[in-house]
Amino acid sequence: MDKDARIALFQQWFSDNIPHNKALGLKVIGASRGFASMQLDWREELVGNPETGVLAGGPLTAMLDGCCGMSVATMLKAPEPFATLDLRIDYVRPAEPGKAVIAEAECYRITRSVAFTRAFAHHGDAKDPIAAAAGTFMLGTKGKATRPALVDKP
Amino acid sequence: MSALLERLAEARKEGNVARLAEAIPYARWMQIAPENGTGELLTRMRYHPELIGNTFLPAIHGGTLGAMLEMAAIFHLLWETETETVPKIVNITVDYLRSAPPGRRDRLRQGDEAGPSHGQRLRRSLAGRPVAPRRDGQRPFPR
Repeated sequence: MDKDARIALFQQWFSDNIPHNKALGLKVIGASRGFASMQLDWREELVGNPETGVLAGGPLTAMLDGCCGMSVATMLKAPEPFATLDLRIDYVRPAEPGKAVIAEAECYRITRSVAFTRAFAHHGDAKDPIAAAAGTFMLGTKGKATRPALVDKP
Repeated sequence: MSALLERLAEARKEGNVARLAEAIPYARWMQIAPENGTGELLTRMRYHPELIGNTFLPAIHGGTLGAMLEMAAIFHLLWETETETVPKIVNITVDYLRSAPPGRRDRLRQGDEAGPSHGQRLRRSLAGRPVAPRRDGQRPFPR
């Protein structure tokens, strides 16, 4: 599967098919084994401080949760349901009003039952982060697999 | 006086905490609003289909529950302290205990005064404690 096809597949599963991610307008911009990247465009509805125009924490929380989850999906050999166990986010500095936010997540360890992820949100320079996240996911939860496995290694 | 300060002053004068949500675009969009009808501050996230994160179970998106916890802490600080701006969150930790089925009951979140920052989902409601340490390292806000 080539890069564009992978991105299109994950865009469908992690944004178009997930109502909240779709409502936020999350765009999948990167997908490879163990790695996920998404973009969130600034818009007025997502502002948390009306005096400064800075985004609320919530949209970043939802994006980082989704992006960490997608990084787990890229590691699965076969589709399998999984769920967020815990998520910690450090808000390092405010997002700049009007600017798109990019999230990059890595699944750095996966066992039979748990996947460990970390992520950063930034405006294009990962060395200058807006937020840092660490999340763990439980694999093999009840229900149908809602997410695809990455069928080949990039 | 800024529009936000005016809104805060009006809400405090009327004793109507729900007005705080009107001032924050994200709270309006998410339908997250505080209420104090029972004498304690509760924050409610009204169910709407755009909260869904898993269409198969179905379940509410975990990120929206984290967002709601954050907004509950912000409303609590706006209401209980003399802050003149929207408080900035330093960090948040959410433990997800089980999936949250949609549409049965709105999510409720009770603000508490101190303790570790955590959220715990119980039945169909959600209880947790925000904590905002003071600069002098003394008792946590709000007090």
